[in-house]
Amino acid sequence: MEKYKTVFVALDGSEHSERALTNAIDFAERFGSTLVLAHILDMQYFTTAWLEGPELQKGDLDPETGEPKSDLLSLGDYQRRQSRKIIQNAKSRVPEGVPYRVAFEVGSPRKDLLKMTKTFNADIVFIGSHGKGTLTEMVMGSVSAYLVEHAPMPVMVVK
Amino acid sequence: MGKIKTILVPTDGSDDARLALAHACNIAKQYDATLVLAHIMHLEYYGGKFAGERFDVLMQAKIEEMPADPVEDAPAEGMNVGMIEEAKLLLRNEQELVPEGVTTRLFWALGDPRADVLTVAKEVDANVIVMGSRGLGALRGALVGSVSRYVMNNSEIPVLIVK
Repeated sequence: MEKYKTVFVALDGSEHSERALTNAIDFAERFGSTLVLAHILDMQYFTTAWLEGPELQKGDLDPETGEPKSDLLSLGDYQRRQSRKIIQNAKSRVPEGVPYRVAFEVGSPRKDLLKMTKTFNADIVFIGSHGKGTLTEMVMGSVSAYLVEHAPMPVMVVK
Repeated sequence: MGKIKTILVPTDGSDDARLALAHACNIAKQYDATLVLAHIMHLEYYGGKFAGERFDVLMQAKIEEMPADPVEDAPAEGMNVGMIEEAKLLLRNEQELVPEGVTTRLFWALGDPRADVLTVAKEVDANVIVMGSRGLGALRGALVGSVSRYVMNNSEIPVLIVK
């Protein structure tokens, strides 16, 4: 407990998680810790998207980028793209001299995030108080509350 | 939270609260922050103890700061002398665990342990609240105590729940 060697921050692109990242970066700088930028792509979105992805027709591709037009992206593609953005953004915000690792997985934001904190030997976890406001969150309570209950290490819930 | 200047640690003297205090001291040293220890007694719980003797006098909810560096603690006044002395003693005991060089403020309160944590946090303009996952009042089997849960859900500032 003396030193927080590994500062783990859970990211989902929400405002609260942005603030969690700001605080985690400051904390890691003070304690000379390694940051773990963690993001879980919710498996739920992904599987439904696999089943229901739209079939592309001629003319559906954007001539400039060669990718499907944004309104025709399957939910899965959209999620993958969001995930990339979230991680990219987090990486770009880490100041020079602060070592970091990226943890990414498709799975359950609750269980797999909890597993990740253990895998990376987190000494402290930073997480936003509320996530993206998914249906699961309404039914099951926030991911932060789940982590506070089940994680073996201190959890900083950031508003 | 940004830069941490003031850290609030609600304490009931339990092992969980001491663990929170240890973490808070660590952070306070690194951030050169002020540590605020608060012991909040439940008005209803203690009220019953005195209702028999002096039921005509209502016990008032209050929050008071005590000097962190006293020559001698001033004797408590009023009907609830015993419990206030106990609270002060508890705070002094916890204060001894704070390493030298960390500026400390001490508060005791009579009221609602959940809501008053947030009241004290506002009063001292805390940047973060550090607390154990469960205190003395927690039910057996509950993973997170009700006070911690309440504070976590209702605080406007970051809350660090230690394990």
